[in-house]
Amino acid sequence: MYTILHRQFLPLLSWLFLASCSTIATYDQTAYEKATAAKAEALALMDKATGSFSAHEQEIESVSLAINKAYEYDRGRALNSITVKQWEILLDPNRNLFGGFIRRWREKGSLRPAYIGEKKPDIAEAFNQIIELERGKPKSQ
Amino acid sequence: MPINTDAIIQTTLEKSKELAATLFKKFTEQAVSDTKDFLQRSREGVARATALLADNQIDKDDFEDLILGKKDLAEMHGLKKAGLASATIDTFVNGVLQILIDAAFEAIP
Repeated sequence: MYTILHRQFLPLLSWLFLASCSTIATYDQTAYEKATAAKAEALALMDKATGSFSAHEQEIESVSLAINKAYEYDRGRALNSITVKQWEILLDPNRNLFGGFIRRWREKGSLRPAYIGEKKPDIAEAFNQIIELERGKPKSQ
Repeated sequence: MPINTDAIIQTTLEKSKELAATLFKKFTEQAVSDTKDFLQRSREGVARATALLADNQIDKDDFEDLILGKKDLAEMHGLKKAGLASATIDTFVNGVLQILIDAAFEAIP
């Protein structure tokens, strides 16, 4: 009886013990897909910044919404503050990544091809930091 | 029949050492390699931006934005490293607990 009880309850106790020992969220396939899709949309939009901001306003809204959905999804996950901070740096209009790119496009009306060509790899790399962190999170047991 | 707790602890310690050696070695190697690549890309980016400014293909405002963007990118890179370190520690802690649980199960007569 003693052994049966141990064999029945030990797995449950083990699971509870393991679940209480995390410091970071586990890998989430949806978050990964949202981040990779947001990256593709952001980079495609950047190519259009040689044209006028006003002519692309609807598209900018649509891409910004998709990116914000990815950010909000991550914001709703427990133990995910590092990824949330990454999104905030990327999207902050007063900094110099995607949020700053959109602000500059709005302020200047259009942007130079050489600037866009040089900025795109940085924005791609910024998204990669979020994507690579997600990929490196522990897989749920 | 009594359970040999000393044997459980000894087994857990030995296997945990192996786990730590594997996990943290892999993490350190990847972190160093990733950081080297990042620094190299940043250096090349600053050089290209400087050349574009000298060639009047971008203005001073564009240049400043590109350089400040590298700073933001470095911050995001640092956050990724911190997150991956946490993930490695979680994997290690959970691995040690799993080793302990497995050793305990094996010790039950």
